Amino acid sequence: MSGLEPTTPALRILALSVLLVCSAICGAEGLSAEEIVRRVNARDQGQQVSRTLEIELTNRRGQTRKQTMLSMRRDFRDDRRTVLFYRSPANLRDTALLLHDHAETGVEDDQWLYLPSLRKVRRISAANRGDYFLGTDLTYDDIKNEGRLVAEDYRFELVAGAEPGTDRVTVEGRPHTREIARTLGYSRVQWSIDTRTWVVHRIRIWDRSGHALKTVTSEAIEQVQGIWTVTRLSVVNHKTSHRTRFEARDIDYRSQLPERYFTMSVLRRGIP
Amino acid sequence: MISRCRIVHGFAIWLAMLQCADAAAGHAPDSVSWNYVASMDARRLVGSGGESAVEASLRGAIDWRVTDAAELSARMRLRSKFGDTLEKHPADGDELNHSTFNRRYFPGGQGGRLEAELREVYLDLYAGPAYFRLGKQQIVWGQADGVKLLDVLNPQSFRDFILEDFEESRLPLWSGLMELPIGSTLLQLTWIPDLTFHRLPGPDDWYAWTSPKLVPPLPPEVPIVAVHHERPETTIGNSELAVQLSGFNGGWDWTLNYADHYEDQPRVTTRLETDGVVIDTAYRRSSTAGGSFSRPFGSAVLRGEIVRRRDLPIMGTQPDGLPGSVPADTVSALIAVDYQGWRDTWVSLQVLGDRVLEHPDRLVRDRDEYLLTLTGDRHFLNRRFKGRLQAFVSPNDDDGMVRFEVAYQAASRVWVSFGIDEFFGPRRGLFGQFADRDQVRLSIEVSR
Repeated sequence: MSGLEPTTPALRILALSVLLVCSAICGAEGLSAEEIVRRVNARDQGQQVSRTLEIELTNRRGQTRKQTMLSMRRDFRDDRRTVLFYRSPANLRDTALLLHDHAETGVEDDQWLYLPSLRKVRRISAANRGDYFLGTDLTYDDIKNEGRLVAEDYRFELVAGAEPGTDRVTVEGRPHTREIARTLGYSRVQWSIDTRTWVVHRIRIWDRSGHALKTVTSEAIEQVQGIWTVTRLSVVNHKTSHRTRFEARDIDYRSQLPERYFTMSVLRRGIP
Repeated sequence: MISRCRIVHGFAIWLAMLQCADAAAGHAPDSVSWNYVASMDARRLVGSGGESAVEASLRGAIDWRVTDAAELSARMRLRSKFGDTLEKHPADGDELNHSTFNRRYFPGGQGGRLEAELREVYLDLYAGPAYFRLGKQQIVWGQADGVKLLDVLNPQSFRDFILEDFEESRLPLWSGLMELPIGSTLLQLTWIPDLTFHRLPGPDDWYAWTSPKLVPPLPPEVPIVAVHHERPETTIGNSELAVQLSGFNGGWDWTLNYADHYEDQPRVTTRLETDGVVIDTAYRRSSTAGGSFSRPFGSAVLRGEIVRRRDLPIMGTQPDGLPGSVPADTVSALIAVDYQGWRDTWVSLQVLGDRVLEHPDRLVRDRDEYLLTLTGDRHFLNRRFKGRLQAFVSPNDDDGMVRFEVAYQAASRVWVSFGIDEFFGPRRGLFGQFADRDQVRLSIEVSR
């Protein structure tokens, strides 16, 4: 019999309690990076959602521009469609973007942009997913992924266990190939993930030269209709000192969004 | 030269418009959205005359969500002009080219210094899967940029040649549109009873046509004794009808289009009388059939249109030997590649080819004509600053146009822009006819 083995009921209870507490706090450490990624991606994000986004863009001189956008997303079996309508300012009003995100590997996404000044829907290339989205500090890929971690783009590694006093672990991703790194504009990404909610709390991104590029922070996370939701997000671009803040309101996961909202014709007409 | 007095006067009018627009916006109920774009444009011709013009405009838009399935929208435009004017006799032009219920209003008199226009007013309705838009509206077809092939349903104002944004120069028409999904395709049916035609420039206007491709080249010593204009009556039988079928298959966006309509450019015929030449203009029935497509390939997007048009009035020699329009069928095709491989940059190359199918020997133009356009757009500083360079080149006449514009977003609601438009080539060309009408433009735009 080992000298370390508990010999009394009290000691057994104490050992069991310590084990349970450690499991609660350190349980995520027992998970692989892939499993953490799987849980983040499996998190309930709602089959559909509509929300109004208030966007604030601030340059290095502190000058601010504001935009308002209506955003809707709906899952169609494994595919995901997102449609964005600008509401203000007037020079962007009625500009709309439709994204078809195909789950099938190797099938390129489809994107359409409605330009009110042309009164035309223009097909745009989805290959440039590393381009910044309409003046913000998020790329088209960032907008499309909405906090998901894409296994087709990155190989993941658990960098750090639970941060002291938090339930957050850090997963690092590096692009599988140089081509992916070139397309995304990133050489390394670290996600700080809350293991209670599986919501990404912070993302740190490095450019292809290895310099710090930007930090994305979920400033406010709330439960809306039972779903953990990031309601305020800020992005700081360390190279340009430009900041973007997104604030979501009127979030609705329950109202049925018709399939026709995610078609080109509604881009032209606007949302009824 | 733009006088300081005119600029101050123009600025004062513009500020007054802005104040009124802001006041109106503040009283709108929740179901109504009201926004506006107020702009002041100053331009100067570089070349003959050195004419200059200042124009203050207010474009307002109201949208009223009547029910969940119905929305009423209206778009208005108010323009106040100072200095030299692009259009010398705008009211006369409207009387000639527009239907009686689709004209501008000139509160300041027929000279047109102050112009008000109800640009669009329409009701959007959803009834089951069907969608209706009824009222005065723009209906746009096609994939072309900067030129129009399939985009034939609405006529255009040529007061600014093709320099004005098409959304501003396209003339909305009273019409009814219905869209109905059929399987994975969308059927669009349009009925247009409004017989408004192209707003053509007058002989004294800044961009008056002089090219022999557009106006009959009459000998200067022969006087024009009369000009007669014939317009079709607005009847059900004279209405225009159009149909479009569109879909998305295998990564391709495509449309098939057909329209039975009046040609928006009049047929011009000349006849000799004892004391001179009489010019007759008349609008004739035509048809347009064609289609469009687009598909991305990596960082590039391929798009195109092909169109066959019937009985287009093309300037040439009449059977009696006098100059005048010759009705001829044409086939046109456009192919374009848009490249987005460089960050914040969009580059597009477009090639348009146009062939006349009949009477090529009697026409002023070549049987086959081509137009190349090259466009580059670049954004800087998180889209706070943008630049555009666009070139149109016609190899047939060795003429063309180059446009350059830079714009800066000074605040959320404020844009300032500067532009240069330069024409080159011989006077017989569509662009070369304006070789002495280069212009520089400065504008400020405030929006809500």
